[in-house]
Amino acid sequence: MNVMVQRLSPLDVVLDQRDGSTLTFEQVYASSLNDVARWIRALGGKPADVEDLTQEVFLVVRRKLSDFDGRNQRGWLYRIAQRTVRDYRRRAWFRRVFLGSVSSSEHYDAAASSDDPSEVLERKQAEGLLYGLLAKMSEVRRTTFVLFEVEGYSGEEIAEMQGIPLNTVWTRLHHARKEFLRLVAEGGRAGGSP
Amino acid sequence: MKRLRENLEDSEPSVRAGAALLSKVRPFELSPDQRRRIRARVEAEPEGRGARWLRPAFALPLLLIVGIAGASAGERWYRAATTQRPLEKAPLPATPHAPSVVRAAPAARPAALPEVSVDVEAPPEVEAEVKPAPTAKASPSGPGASLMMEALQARRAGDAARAQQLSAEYRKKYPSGALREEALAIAFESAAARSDPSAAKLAQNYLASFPRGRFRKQAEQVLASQR
Repeated sequence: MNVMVQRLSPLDVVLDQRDGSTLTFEQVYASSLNDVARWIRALGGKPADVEDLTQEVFLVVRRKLSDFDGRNQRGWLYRIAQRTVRDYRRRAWFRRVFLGSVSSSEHYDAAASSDDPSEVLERKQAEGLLYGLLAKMSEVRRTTFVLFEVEGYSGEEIAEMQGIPLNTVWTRLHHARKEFLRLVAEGGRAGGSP
Repeated sequence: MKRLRENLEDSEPSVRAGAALLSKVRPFELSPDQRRRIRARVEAEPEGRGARWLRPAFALPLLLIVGIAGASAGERWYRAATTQRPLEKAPLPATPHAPSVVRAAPAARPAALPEVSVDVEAPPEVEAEVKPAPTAKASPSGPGASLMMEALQARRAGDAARAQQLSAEYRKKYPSGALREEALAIAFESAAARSDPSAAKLAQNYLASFPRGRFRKQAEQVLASQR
């Protein structure tokens, strides 16, 4: 288990690992910030909420770094992201049911990617269509599909972060693809070209 | 495994369409602005955040309890606020039959006059409720309340005969009425005030019907004075 955790400043939480090396919050943050944001998106976080959710994940990371055993950092972070998104969905459901408020809009941060407005618009439309289709899939299949097909992770990486055997990843991906292509075909028959 | 977006030339139309759609979508990337904001917020956030009691699983039962308590207190407050008090302002502690009542103080004979609790709902409603069938069970605010009010006022005005007559009328009309105990008490007390020999019988009747009644002491006094 962990040997020692030092706290110097909000971003200087240090974890002494078993192998003698140290892992600081700063390192975790710098190496995983964009990955965490991608996982949140793959797990179903809306673009407008990804920023808030990423921040929440790193607040949990800072709080729990002392409990981390130093093994499978990606898997540990992924589980925190998963729980954070689940809580966020629960809160969104609560707001919708009890407070009657609509969840945040599918805002797309254009500045994040391209300067060409038409390209941004086209991508925005494609994303809207894609995530609209993916919303009809089960969470497990959708997440694996997005991580592999959209975010570009390898099967091995997905298996590591999800803590499942590689074959399970391929099986999930196989079913997710079949379902996705069926949804695309249905969408095409319904009139809109996906 | 080959990614789906690479199958743009596939023979299957749905695969081609799916690949075309996926090829238009890029991996999610945080903008420099977003990175800066996240960093600033993580640095600014004090540690130990995330009070568990604010989470829905904790907050919902809490809200439920507060809501129920608020609703029941609000209902009581509303009843108390909408109840008129024509006789006196001092309310009695709530009883199972009469949650909001006004206690009429004895007037003519303080020592012997029983304390009578009568509901004092708004007069028009009470008047409208006097009409129901004699056997109907009267609630404190229901049938017969105005009759008892009248009896009480007559007794306080010193008209014991009228009070006795009205209480007898109440008992005849509403044999199982909610104010039967008060009616009997006024009856024996009024009879005693008039030195009516029926006072003892009425008091006995009261004690038999309400062995642990609120006016037991007064009934026993009447019986003792008649011996």
